[in-house]
Amino acid sequence: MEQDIRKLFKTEMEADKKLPVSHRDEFQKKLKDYKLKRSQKNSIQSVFKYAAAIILFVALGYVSLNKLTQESIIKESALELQIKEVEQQYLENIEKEWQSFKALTDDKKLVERYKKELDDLNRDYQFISEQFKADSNNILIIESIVKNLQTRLRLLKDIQEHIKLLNQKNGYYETIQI
Amino acid sequence: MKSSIETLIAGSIKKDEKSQMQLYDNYCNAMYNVVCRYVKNDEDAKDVMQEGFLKAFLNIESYKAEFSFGSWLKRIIINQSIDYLKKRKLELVNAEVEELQIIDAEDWNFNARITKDQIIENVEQLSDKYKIVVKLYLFEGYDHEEISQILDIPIKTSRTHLRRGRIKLQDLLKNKRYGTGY
Repeated sequence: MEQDIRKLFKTEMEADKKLPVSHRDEFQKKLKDYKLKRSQKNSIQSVFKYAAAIILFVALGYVSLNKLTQESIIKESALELQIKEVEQQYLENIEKEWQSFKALTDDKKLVERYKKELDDLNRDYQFISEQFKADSNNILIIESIVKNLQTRLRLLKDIQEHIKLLNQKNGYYETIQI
Repeated sequence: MKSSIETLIAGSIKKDEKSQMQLYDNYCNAMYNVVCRYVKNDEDAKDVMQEGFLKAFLNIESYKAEFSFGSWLKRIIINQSIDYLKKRKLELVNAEVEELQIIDAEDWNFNARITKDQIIENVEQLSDKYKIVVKLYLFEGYDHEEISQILDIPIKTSRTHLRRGRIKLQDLLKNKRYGTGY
């Protein structure tokens, strides 16, 4: 006679092992300790988390600030360079035209009028440039610089027109003279 | 009973100590006896069982009602027992896996005179790696997939160990001449 011994174990195994009497209290204590440990661990973990978050934030802030300032330095210097270049061109042109204007006219009143205007604009420009160096992000200052340069451009055009007028007059006189 | 267990589970999810202790009271004896099948030192078995309960309470949110709570808990307790054995350098995998499964793989027919107690007694004589697979299969009713998960071994290894364990067990029982059938 044979039997499939797996059938013997289909029913629950006998539970004849008895736990020691103190096991319940012991477990209750373990449960309490475990919870305490976990909550401590959690609070330590959360402290670490906050610390890590703060460090990360500060680091990120530092890096991005650095990057930003670097970027803005580059931007500013690019802007400044552009402005300087434009300014230089303007000033050279103004100077050139100014000289030819002076050479072409004897009208001291006129020369002085333009000189005064240009000097005023130049003084303003120096002042704005100082402000721009101190506060390069202020859009109003940049606008002032642009306006100042535009004014000079207008002035330059005025001068050129004057010169044209004078040249025409001179040409007229020249033809007359010839 | 069932609804009260569900209430206790809900309470335990909320970390209510009373519910947790009542679940412990309901299952500790059965679980202690499960652990004792693997852990031979009674004091260690109690510790393993209690650690298993702590682990179960920690993960109780992952319990799904599709299994009975008892079998869910038992799986955790079994895993805890295996961890204990592994810490004691239990070797589970070193036997070479047999590629060919022999036809008698499912032959669990033993002499009808052999009693359950005699089987339990003789399973203990098997070498560790066979013993554990035989116990998980025969005593706990796990299939090879479950055994391979519990022991973290390939299913093939589980099959090989079980087959060798069963043959060895048959030999042991024959040699001791229980009954007069042979």
